[in-house]
Amino acid sequence: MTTHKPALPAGRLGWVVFFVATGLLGFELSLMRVLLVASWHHFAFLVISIALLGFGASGTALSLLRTRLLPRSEGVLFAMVLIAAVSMPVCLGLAQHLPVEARLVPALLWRQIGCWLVYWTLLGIPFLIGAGAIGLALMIAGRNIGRVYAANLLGSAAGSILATAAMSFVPPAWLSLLMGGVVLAGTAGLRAGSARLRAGAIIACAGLTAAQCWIDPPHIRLDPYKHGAYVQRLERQGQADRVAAAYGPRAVVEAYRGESFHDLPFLSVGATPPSMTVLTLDGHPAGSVLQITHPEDATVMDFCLMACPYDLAPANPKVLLLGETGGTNVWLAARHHAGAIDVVQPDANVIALLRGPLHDRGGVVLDLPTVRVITAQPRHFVERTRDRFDLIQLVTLESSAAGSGGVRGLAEDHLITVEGITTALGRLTDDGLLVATRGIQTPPRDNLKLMATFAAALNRNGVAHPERHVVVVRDYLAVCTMARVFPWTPHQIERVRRVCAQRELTPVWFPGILLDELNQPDAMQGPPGEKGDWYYHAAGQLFSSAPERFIADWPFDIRPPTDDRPFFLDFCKMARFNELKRAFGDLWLTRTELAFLFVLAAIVVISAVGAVLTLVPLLFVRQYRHAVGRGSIVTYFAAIGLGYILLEMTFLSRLTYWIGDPVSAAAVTIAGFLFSSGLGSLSAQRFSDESTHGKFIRTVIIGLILIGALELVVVAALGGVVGTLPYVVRCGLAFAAILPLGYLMGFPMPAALARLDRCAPAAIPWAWGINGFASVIAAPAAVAVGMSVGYTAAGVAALALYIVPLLFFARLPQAV
Amino acid sequence: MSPWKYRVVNGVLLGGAIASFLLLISFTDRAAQDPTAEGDPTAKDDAQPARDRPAPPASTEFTETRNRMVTGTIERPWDGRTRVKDKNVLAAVRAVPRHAFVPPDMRRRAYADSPLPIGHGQTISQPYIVALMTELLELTPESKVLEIGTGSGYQAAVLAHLTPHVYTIEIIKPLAEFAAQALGKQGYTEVKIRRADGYFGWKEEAPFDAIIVTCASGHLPPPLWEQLKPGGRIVIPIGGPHEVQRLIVVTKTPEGKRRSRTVTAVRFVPLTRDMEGE
Repeated sequence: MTTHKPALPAGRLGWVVFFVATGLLGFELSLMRVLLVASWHHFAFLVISIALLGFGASGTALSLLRTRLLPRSEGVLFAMVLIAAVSMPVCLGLAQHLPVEARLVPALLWRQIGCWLVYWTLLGIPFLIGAGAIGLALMIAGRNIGRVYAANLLGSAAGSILATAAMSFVPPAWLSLLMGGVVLAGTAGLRAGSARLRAGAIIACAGLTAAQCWIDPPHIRLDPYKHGAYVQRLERQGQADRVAAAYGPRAVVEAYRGESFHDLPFLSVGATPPSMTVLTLDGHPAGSVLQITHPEDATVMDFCLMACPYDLAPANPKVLLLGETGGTNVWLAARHHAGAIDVVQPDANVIALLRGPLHDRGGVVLDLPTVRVITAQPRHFVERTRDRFDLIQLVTLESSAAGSGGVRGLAEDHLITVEGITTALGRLTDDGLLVATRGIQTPPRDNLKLMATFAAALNRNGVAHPERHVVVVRDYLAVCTMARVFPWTPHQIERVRRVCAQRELTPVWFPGILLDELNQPDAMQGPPGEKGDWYYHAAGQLFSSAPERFIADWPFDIRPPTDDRPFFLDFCKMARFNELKRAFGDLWLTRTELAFLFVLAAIVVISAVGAVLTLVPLLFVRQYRHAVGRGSIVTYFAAIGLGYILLEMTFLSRLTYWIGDPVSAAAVTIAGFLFSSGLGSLSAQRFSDESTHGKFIRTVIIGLILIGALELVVVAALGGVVGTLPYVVRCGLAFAAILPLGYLMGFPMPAALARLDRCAPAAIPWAWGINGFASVIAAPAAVAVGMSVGYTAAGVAALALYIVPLLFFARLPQAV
Repeated sequence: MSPWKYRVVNGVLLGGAIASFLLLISFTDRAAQDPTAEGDPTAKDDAQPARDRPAPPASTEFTETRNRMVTGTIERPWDGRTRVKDKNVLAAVRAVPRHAFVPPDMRRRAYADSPLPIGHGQTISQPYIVALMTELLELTPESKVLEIGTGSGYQAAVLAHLTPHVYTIEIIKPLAEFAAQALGKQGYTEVKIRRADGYFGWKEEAPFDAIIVTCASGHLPPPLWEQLKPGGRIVIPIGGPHEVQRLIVVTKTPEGKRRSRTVTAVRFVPLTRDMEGE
């Protein structure tokens, strides 16, 4: 592509690029970890977009400033690497002082949005400068560009490994400092100016960073409305102590003790909880560890709604607790003389805490003779186990639901999908119960979606009348939904009636329920003129043979989630948005579901910023303005930019299911695609003569589409199998799965750039800018498609987009 | 493109971006009725609670603004909200100077129809929610009421206009101090404040005719249930004051049993088409 003499030896330039790439990708993953702690989601799609924006914008800037940079390239490169290194901890540290919150207040809406914009701008600065350094290095690499590019790939892969490994040892707040140090190591490959000057600059920057860390130690500002922030407040005023903590890619686990903790969901009046240690996962309440030593001390659990199913399950049940964290449900099972209790917890750190520092504070619950602890993703466990259970409890759902304005709607959960529930039903004994207890929301949404999902799963299992297989009861706080493989018998229904009377529960649904039994003792609103509440009304519709109309009419999205669209907590229905806004007035911010709106807003803002930073400047440059074949160039490079990231995000979701946690999945996916596409790009260069021939590229793209389609199917199908393997093996298989597709995806871009280099070099910045812009908006767009219609649609759309280069390669400017 | 054009273009883009950010941060689209645009701050407030016993002092500041707030968003809300009808409650909300119970930087928005952050991860509830919860308590001048979660003290001040027997507990120390100061300054000397864990109620002053739990709770604290008189009621907003999804009123029957009903802040009927066919 370029033949000018390199400004620096390949080895030194490669050294620089390797460490900058390592630090950049490490910083990208670190940000996701930090955001999971600070806020409500890892925002992977936004972080990826910001990183790509940095690359795109820096590419445009480099194109415009090329003639000024090249004469002093090594000095500029040194400065950029230094600034990139320092900017990581500094920008992240500054961002912690912004009052960003996920809960929007009407009176402060624009201020809050403004703070978010500044927040993301600060986080984008390291990417802009670091990407600029890599871009400049590639610009001056000359004939060594292949080796320098390879260093970029290796660095990216190294960065993902380093960041993922570091998360287990380094507190999230310090990861940016680590990555900055990695980038700083890149300066060792540069000889700009005198050694004294370089050393002085490095020492000055390091000193400034150290001073900042001393004045304002790295920390993560939790969203003030998160539970973890409340717990920290109690700690500051001496009413709580942090007794243990553990870090990992999956979560930061913390344990706090104090007499002011009473976290026990759905506890009815009747008993006061004993002292407890509370667990938080990334600042979210994760469970309570009761400071007791014997099931007889856990009488309080008898007054929780989760105790109701034990009155209806077989005696001495074999119990499966999916996602149990603190052990409260273990005590409950033990009190009911469970014959065996399987506890499935995906985070090994949680188990380690319970068995280690918290052992004498209630962690002894895991030592009960009937308890078996399995460290696995709940969905993976139910896929692989061949055991049958009398009671399966979906503990992950036991919270007061998404009352946070829907900000948790972006979270993916592969257990609470039609496929997951179907599999769980298949693990029940003939008299077994699948139980989900979840807080009440108004208007109802969570529990309706659960009912719809249970019904769909029963249908999948061949059940024609799901209404005969489900019992739903509630109190004033939560709803308990219980499903059986076989229909409830009249004798069992009489037991349900007795249990409701004894526990003062309100029946919602069971076969043969009478109108007089409805909506008491805890009355809730229902359709005008009807005695039953909305839950009863909804159950009648959702368990019918045609629930689609009810689902379509309900103002919130209660479609059963699937593996392809695993967003249980997303209830946003854009079609009803205006109606909800009118109905709720100023309360709409906390009543409508914001997750999807957030993604749409991100698309709009990212598009605007991306256009300004990557495309607009090119309009002012005459030689770029009049570049030949702009239409074909725009079409071609936009299509591959969109298609590449859409595919990457689709695989990120699929591989989250494989691997089990989103940050590790992001590390493997991003590194895998970068690495394999880079190899593909290098191969494209080697076949540069052939690659300028349309036939070769068409063959590659056809292969890409076919392999992509195959991989989409295979990766989705193998999720249950791969999920049963050890963590390292899962990551390795995921990486390997990406390689073939990623390799082919590396061809279209450099092949076209090579042609432009020969025939229309002035158009290269356009190509680069368009591609960068398209990549930037593709990440949130992929999430929007995934949440709306599923990631298969996003993947198919991506493959369809690759038909464009198939058609347009021949239309790119050609040598005459 | 000549160098100077580069500089001009870059400068315009950069300046525009910076200006946009600054504007976004400082601009608010929910401009509260600015108390500083008040007409006559010394005008006498004649919305006195209609009762025979002495009442806390009614603030004479920003009375017009408060009246507009009560009329427009609580008494006759323009959207689908449940109306608050109790005249004593409306008079109480008219009397309490909400601006005195928010941090100084929030005073401009004090009478906005919005919850407002008061620091320490807490918010002062939307005035409408405060009024609705107060109405649900069904207080009389003899009622003894316990509030769990004093926050800024605003709710306690409203309660003090309906009964002199107000007890309030706050666990967060800076908030308890702020509330004590604000209540004292505004003359609400009858309100008893305690800094403690509200989960355990206020045993020494039990039983209570009514209890209001304003902080997020996953369940009804059993000690509060024990401290509630038969016939009494507990009002719990589920979801926290910042994001009230529904209000639960739990009453204790003479036999000590629990009965509850859910009150939604907004009358919204989710289905229309489906119900037409019934």
